[in-house]
Amino acid sequence: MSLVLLYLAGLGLLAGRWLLRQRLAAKPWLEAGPAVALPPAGPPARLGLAVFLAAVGLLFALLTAAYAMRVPAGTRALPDPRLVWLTTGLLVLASLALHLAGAAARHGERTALRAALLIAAAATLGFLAGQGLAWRDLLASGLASPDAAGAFFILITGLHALHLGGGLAGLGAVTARAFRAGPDPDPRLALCVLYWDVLLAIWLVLFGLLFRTPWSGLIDTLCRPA
Amino acid sequence: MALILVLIALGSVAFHLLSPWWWTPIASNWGTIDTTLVITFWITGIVFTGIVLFVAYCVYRFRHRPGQQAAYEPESRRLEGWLTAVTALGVAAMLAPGLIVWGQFVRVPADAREVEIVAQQWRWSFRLPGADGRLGAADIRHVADDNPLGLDPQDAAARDDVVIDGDDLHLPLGRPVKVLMRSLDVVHNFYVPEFRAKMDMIPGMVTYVWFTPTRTGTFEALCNEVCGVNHYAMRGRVVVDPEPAYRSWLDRQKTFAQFAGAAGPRRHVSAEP
Amino acid sequence: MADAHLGTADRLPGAIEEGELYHPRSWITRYVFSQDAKIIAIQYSSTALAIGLVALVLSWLIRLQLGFPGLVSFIGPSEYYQYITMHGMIMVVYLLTALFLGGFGNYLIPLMLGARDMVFPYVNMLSYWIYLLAVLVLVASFFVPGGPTGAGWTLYPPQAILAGTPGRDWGIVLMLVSLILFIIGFTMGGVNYVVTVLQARAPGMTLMRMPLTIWGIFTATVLALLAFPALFVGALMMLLDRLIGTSFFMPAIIEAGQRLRHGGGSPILFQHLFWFFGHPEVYIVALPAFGIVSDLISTHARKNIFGYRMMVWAIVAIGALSFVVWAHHMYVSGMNPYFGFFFATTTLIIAIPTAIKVYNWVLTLWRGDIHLTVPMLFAIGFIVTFLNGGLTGLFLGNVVVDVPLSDTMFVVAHFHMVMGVAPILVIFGGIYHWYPKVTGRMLDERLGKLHFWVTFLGAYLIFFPMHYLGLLGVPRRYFEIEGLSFVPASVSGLNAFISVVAFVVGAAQIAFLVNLVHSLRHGAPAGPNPWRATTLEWQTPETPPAHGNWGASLPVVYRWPYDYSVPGADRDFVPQNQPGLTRAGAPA
Repeated sequence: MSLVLLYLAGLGLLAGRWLLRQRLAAKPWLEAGPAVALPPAGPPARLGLAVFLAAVGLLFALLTAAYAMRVPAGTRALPDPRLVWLTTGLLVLASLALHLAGAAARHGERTALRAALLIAAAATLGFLAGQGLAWRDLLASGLASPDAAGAFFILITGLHALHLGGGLAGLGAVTARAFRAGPDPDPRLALCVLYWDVLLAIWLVLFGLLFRTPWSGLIDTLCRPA
Repeated sequence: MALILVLIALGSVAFHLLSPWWWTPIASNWGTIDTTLVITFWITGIVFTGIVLFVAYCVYRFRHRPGQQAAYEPESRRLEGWLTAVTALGVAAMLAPGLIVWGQFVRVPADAREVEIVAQQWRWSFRLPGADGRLGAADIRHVADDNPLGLDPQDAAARDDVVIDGDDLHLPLGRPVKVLMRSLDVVHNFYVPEFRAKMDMIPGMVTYVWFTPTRTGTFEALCNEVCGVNHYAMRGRVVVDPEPAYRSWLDRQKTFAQFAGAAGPRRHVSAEP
Repeated sequence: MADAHLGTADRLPGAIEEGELYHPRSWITRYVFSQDAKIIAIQYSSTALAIGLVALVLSWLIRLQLGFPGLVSFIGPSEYYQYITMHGMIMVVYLLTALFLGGFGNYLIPLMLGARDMVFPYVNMLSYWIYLLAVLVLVASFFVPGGPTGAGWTLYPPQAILAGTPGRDWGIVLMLVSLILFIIGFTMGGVNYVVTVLQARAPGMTLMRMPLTIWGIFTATVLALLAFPALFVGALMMLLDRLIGTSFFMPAIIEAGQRLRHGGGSPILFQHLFWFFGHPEVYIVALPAFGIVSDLISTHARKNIFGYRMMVWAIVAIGALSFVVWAHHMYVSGMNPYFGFFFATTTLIIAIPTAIKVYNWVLTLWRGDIHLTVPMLFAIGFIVTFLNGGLTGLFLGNVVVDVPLSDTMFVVAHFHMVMGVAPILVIFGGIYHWYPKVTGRMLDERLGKLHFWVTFLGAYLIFFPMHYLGLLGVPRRYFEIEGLSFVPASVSGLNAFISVVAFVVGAAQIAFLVNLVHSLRHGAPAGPNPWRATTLEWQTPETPPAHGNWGASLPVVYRWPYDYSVPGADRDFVPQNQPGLTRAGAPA
């Protein structure tokens, strides 16, 4: 649960910091006249995506809390970790490629943009395919294990893959436009970069929770009650 | 409107004072819970009556009449500060006794005797420690026709436990009991209104609650956590006896070892329609 | 910054210019698949009220059984549990949440903030259609074999998915699917509301010039975005337990003498997830009600809301605190009892900002110029019922007092008073208040007063005495209490009385529906601002507001929303978009 509370506290801090700059202590009845409100910067779509991702982040934080409450400490009976290391690498690659695509778009390098987008899409598909293989192994061995680690793997990675799949639809649209050679940069590309970064970060936390990784100790400390 | 608000305030107080529906006479040591409840009644009752009467006054006194203008009064830090402080005080006056009593509630006295209640759809069974004074191990894996509570046949401490299946639970007067609770299927709750204390029974866990019976008699126990279609019919009885009567009752009960030997043909765990 | 000139340079990132707005081309895209927040609001409200009627009928059937057990033969225990489950779930999620956020939120956020529409109109439209799908899936569960689930609205496992509970085959599956759909749909709407409030406000509309209605809806939306994921996770895990045999919530279980395949699961985990959603949910319903009632009281008492800043801070504080009180629903759930100290303390602390809100409403009435219009009657009714329900909350939040009362009729009376009756009175008040803007016509006042008095007094008569049944120990969710030795015979008389009043209150809603439909054509023309209110929605160039809300140019906001009875002003209200001097000593 502490990860959830920490996450909420983090969101609360962000919200609180923003609220503090909104002059909540002003006495509005004394201040008739024109005034300029200070909205959060950035295009609405980016803010909307950020709000959505805040909710998605909490969704996965709650899943880690559920995992920690349900699965006995130390249990990590799961598919071949080498496969999952590989898929993790692919997701990192996809995220990097998207950053490169963003840079390419800013510099107007069309060929590099197209290549980077294709690499990102391919790496993401590779990630999903790898997860699919892991699923197959797991389903073959059955889900009825009383420690529920396998069921959690399916549930957590399934939800994560669904989100990534939704992102792929957006990435597809961006890629298609890059190939139709619109001259102006696509604002949706920046959204894809943000989305992939967040889903990668979420995945790294989930990976640390589900498998034995160098950062698993940290994740366990955060998720499990003392 | 104002008149009706006054009627609501006074009517609620009158109903409170005259209502024939009040808590059941207490039969355990948790009189302190009742005291906390009464404190809460006093504080909230005063606040409720006061505010509703004040609203009634405002609605009457400041009703719209031609030419009337409302006061312009954005805020009053002093008034708001005072109200906050008084509220905080009132809240503390309810919370402090509540937490003190809760402190007693969660700390089981060392001399409390253990009793186990096992729930399943839609009936209760009970287990009391045998001559060794402690309850033996139990697990749902061991549940069988001749072992309805799943006691561990290998555990010597379990074999002398007294198993009561399909009869009332008896408790001795004036002795603290720690009630351990298990459930074989869904969430139940063992609730005797006169004891005030209650706790859910969660399958896969052992929960507990403690109290000291302070009055002899037969009390009705109900399930108080919705547990399926016959939830409302899941009832039982607890009998509080003076020590000698309790002793002789206990001596008549069968231990697990005897129970296992005497089990009849397969008995289904089924519901009364 | 305060003196910066207002030009296109200050245009907020979310502000939509008239030309950029989506323009419907046909009747279908204008009224059915509309992207106009006002139409979506009406769609949300009508759907919510329609499904609410189903829940009202269910409550009649429940009261029929409780007041007159055995009178009708078709209500058996299975049906009874199905009725209470569906009544609760519909009222809390599909009526209250949808109506406050989807209905009032969609209509009022753009209009009160001076925006042309929501920031993402297309997503907004999708949100409604997914909500409708969720409602249809829910309704479908009445017609599947075995009927809807009877697990209680809390859907506690293992019970909810075992054979001993009605609707185990189909009902629970449809319920969980419907909830998941609802959450997806709501998230789309919620993102929209948040971004619109943050980025699409009219020039000059600072946060501290937002009406409290918007503060309430905004904070509630943020809470909902953070609370619904917990229900989503819980529902999904239970669905997997039910359909593919996982054991997230299912420990080793013996059902009807048979060991089930499940093992190791944690029923309490579900309760944590459920209440992590469930408690903020109370405030998701309450905060919009708080906001709306503040505006109703201020407008109809012709007086500025007392302590506006405190009201804003209280809303934010309540919203934040509502995430650390959830386990007060679980004092007797078998969780670690030491949690009780923490959760009782946080729960009682939350009473303080709530109490401040009540004081400020009452102090707004004091020295006001109170017009007892229908919306005002409902607002005062809200204060009384909310006060009553809030105070009984202090019993249940104080851990040790909760022990004897939990899961008794006291709880039923408490939450109906505080999050049933009180918010619904606000919904009615809000509808009487804004109907003239939505339709251009007034609702009939005499019918409205009849509706108010029967609903308010009736609801009080139903739920106030019910507390005493709980005090006596009458448990909730009992199909019948026949044969309980500690229950005196007089209780059945009280139950019959409560049921009769419930039938009357339910019937009074017909007057409301008749009023809604009849006034659509025959109501008195309202004009643009019948209540002489200051907020922006009353200053639209057209009534009802046209697509795009504001004609050629957006309104500019010069003042806070509560300039009523300002000394020295020529009228007793100064609209938010009126420039110029307002009062001595405060230069514009």
